[in-house]
Amino acid sequence: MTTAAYIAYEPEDAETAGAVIAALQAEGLGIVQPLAELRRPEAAAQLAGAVAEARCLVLVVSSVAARSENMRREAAFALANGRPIISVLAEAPPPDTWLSHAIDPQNVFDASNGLAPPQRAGLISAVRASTAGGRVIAMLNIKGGVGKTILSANLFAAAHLIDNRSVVFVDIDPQHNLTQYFIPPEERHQLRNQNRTLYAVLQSRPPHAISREQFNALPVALNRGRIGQSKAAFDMVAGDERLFEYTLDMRSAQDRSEALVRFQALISQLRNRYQAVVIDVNPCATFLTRCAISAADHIVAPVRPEKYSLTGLNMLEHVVREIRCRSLRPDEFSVLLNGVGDRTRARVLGDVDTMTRSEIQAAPFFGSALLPHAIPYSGALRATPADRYAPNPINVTALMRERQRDVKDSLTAAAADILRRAGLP
Amino acid sequence: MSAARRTGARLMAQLAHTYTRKELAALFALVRAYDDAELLGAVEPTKSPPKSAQDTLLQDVRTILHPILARSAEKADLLIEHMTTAEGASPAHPIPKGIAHALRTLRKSFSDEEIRAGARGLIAKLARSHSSRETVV
Repeated sequence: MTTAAYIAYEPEDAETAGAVIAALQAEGLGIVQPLAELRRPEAAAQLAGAVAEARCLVLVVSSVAARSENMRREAAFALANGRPIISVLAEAPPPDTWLSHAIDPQNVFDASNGLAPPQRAGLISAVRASTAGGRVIAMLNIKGGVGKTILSANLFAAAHLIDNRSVVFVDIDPQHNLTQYFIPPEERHQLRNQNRTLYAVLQSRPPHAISREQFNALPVALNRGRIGQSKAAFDMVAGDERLFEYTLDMRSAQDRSEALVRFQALISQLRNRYQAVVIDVNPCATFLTRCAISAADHIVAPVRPEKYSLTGLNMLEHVVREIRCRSLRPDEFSVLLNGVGDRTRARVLGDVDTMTRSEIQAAPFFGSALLPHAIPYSGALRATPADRYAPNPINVTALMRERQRDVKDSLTAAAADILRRAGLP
Repeated sequence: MSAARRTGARLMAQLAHTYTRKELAALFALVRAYDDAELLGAVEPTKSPPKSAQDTLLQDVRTILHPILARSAEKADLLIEHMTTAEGASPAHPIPKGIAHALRTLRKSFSDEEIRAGARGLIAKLARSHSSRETVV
């Protein structure tokens, strides 16, 4: 049974916690309670692992909780691992404590006079919602130029067109190449001016911030043709260049903390509407990388066949461990070899495809994560020619304009592999 | 018997099997009267150019719409929408099967020249929305 919730509380609030546990267990929802040995400072990685095993964190809020360093750490681990925080009030939270940043106002249930039936039903529904919904996939490699953006677009276009999956992209890269790949300049400028990009999500104050209710209106349709229109959506939350503000030290710690919570709220909303939420992440490790890694259920690292490919992967594993405060599990990660069979490179470098594949397979951690299907080198996996127009954005993808069967088949097979590994049936 | 004579005998047998004596006599008379090129020209079927090649408007519209990255039916749908639907309104026309089908629909309301102008107008509109390249600051 999947663990539905980690119940974070202090012994002083055991009565309220007991009511929460009884309510969830009566519905067949698995729970984990804090263990004293996991709350020791030296067991931080195990505690983070226990929090991440559950689909959400239920925080029993009180004045004792506000002073609890253990609960603060558990909430931080939940945020770092993209687990929604559901708050149950044993008493009203004191102002200006860490709880003010951790409590999601849309997920608060008052139990100060016991867990009344409406509150109990709301709590069960919130916990159930966190176990359902789509999967969040981050396309990520600390090394640049490995094909993250073009592969994101083309892999998940194949999943949409061939397997009828509903997909939404989130472009968190300040270079916003994925947005540029799909959306023409005039429309991009309109989205930017109307605060309909990811920048407006990360902002928590006027003039650019939007309310959480407005998050639902952010996705832009990328499959607009009337012919053979699928019922599944193929959408995007666009990025823009102002996201670079979050890569430098231009934002205060509070701004970044609020941005992380708002980003996770967006992902949570998208997860309820789409089967796959695909985050195209910037290379390097910045605050934006933290947002993506903390929200992702599964990470896909595209790798080019070349000498230094393992360096990027090793860095990636290290960054993920730092952000999530625990080791990455092999089932949370896939490595996709991109650009195999490039004959011009082979003349110079020899059989670099086989060399890279063997090197990754021999690596203790990455070997089991290497996908069986690799993407062949193809001219079609590039941006659209400048003199061609695509009023229907999905037409820029290889599946719509490529005649080479092997490229289409590889994209479709690799996308299916990724979604299966990410846990989609 | 030589190979050439065997082949000739087989062909004659096949002809005798297919035609009457009177028809064969007429055929031999033709063979004696004309050379090979004329006879072969007469038996090969005449290739009439496809209908689409005769329709200059269709050729022109296909060329004008070439920069659009879409299947033929999608381009046709865009052309009808551009020429018949007000800006911002949702299209009410049935989806055409291709450009030739779209032209049959449009010719009921527009002249060939108006359709050519419509196609050019569609491309100009797309060029405006797609062509503002990023600039270096």
